[in-house]
Amino acid sequence: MKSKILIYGAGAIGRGYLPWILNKKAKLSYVENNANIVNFFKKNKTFHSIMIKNKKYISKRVVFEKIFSFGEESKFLNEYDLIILCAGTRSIESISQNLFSYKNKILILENDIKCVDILKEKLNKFNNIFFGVPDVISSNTASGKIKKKYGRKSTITENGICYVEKRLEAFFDKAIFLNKKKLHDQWICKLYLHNTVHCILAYLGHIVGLRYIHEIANLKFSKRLLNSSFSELSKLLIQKYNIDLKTIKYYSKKELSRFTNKLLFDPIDRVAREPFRKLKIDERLIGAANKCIANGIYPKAISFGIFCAFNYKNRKDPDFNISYLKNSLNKEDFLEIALGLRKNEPISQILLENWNLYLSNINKLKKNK
Amino acid sequence: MRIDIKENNLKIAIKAAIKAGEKLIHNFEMTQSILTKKSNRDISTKVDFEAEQKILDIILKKNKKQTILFEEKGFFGKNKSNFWIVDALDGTVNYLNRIPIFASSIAYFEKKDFIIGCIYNPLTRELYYSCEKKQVFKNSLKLNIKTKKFSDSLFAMSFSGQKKNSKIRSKESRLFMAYNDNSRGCLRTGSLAVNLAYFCEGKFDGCIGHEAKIWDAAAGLCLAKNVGAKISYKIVKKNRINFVVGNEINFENIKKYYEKYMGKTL
Repeated sequence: MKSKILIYGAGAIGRGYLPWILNKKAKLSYVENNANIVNFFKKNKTFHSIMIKNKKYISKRVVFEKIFSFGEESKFLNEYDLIILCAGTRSIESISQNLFSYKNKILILENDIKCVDILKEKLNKFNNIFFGVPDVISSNTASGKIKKKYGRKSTITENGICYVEKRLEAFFDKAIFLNKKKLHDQWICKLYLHNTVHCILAYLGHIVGLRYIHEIANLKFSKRLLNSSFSELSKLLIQKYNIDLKTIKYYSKKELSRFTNKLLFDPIDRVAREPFRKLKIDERLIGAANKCIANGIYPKAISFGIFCAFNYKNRKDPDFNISYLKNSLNKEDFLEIALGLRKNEPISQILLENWNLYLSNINKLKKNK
Repeated sequence: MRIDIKENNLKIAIKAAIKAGEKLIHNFEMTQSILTKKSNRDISTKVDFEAEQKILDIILKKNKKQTILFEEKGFFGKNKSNFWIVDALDGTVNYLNRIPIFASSIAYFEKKDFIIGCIYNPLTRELYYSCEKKQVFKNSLKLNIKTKKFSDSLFAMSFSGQKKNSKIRSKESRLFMAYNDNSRGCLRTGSLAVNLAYFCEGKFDGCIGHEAKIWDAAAGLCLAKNVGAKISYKIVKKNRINFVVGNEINFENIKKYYEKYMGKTL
């Protein structure tokens, strides 16, 4: 089928991963907020995406049809058979403003299943909005060597798996199509066994002063932390979500090898970005810890990961204000004002009781780096 | 001011606002003794002074040479071009009546501009702060300006304390009613700092102040400027300011009404 697909977000998933799995004959176009990317690709309608396959890099030259800056696309929306959203969960609201007149199918590949309900409600459309879980790490900042060989806008991706809701088969060459229940299980595994652990590693790596996930994941201390995190989350997935141990073991093993993959160059700042979003009470860190507590599991490793997130300091990050609050407020005020956690909540108590211990662990790590 | 110095000063402002807030909360349920009464509405209590002292201690802790303009204590220090502007309790009457609309307001003024703004309501735990353009936050959230047309806007206005000047009073009242009757409404909340903080959050769509006290307005105007509001202001008398604040769409009308009814340009 020669379909036309419009992808919101010309980043790691949009540019780096989707060209490998979408139908080869499909004509791709992009909508992007970043003016530098738009200007660059308006002049050069091609880029290289590099995939890691069998511990080797293979490249793909992608030629696309158009790139729009955000808003420019609105007149042309109905020319497209499918719209894919992978521009970041925070952009869902603003993108939804542009999609009112669009009549065809929308696939959400954002890292949050709640985006589906938000978009359905915003657009008052309930049958044409689908969810997918790209189980892949991809990065729009390839290593210097790769950039030199394939151009500065080349991207890098794993050979991942994309799980997609049924009814979108025609648009893909390579994806696994699942019913809603099975897709939800995939999402839960991804949310906790991937997202939670991935960002714990990123915040730890940031504190230690490293640049890529594999650098931190291969340290001895991190491996212990990874195993403890997997163990707490596995118990949660069995008890709360009834996911079988075999699936969990397979998933955890896969994640461990993915995080330690030295070819991937997964930047810590990409994974750690927007710490306040990740620290929301229903999100991957505090949300995961609260769910553990509710199921009788003490979230020792996760709460250390939460503490690491408090110490994220990156001037370019939209949530840079976390450092203002962390450095200005005492610990109880920080939890309440910055995160909305009252001091008598169990997760607050765990954090407050261990605050000094976590702090000294971090100082030790910095010294031994 | 260099960004790292700005950030350090913002951290000081946040710490000071939180400390003052602790004092305000501690005394909230107690009966307050009124220490000075400039008019029925313009009063100061013991807690105003105590909260000011908390702020003073924190600001001077790292640098004893800082100058601070306080509502209650007046100028503290000698530098009259770069200084902190502090109102430890904006909304004293609300506070006395246990109405939860009051705040500590701390600003830094440098080279005739508001550089840092921090407003904190300790009861609701709402902390608004900024030291950079397009970087205005409420607690963890980044705030963005909302745009509504004049007729759909909700305004907040604060009056001067000039109740004995019937001419000005009458102009202010007519201005208030003009805003009120031609929009979603105009409120008088009793705390100018809260008005401006709510504006930044999109709860209000415009704020107006006539002969407002500079310590009530300074932090809020800094936040409004940094969130991207359209602002006109004029410092009119010693420590008094006339101002209008709005968005791209409603600003010209807000200003037009002000100038028409008050007979003054901004």
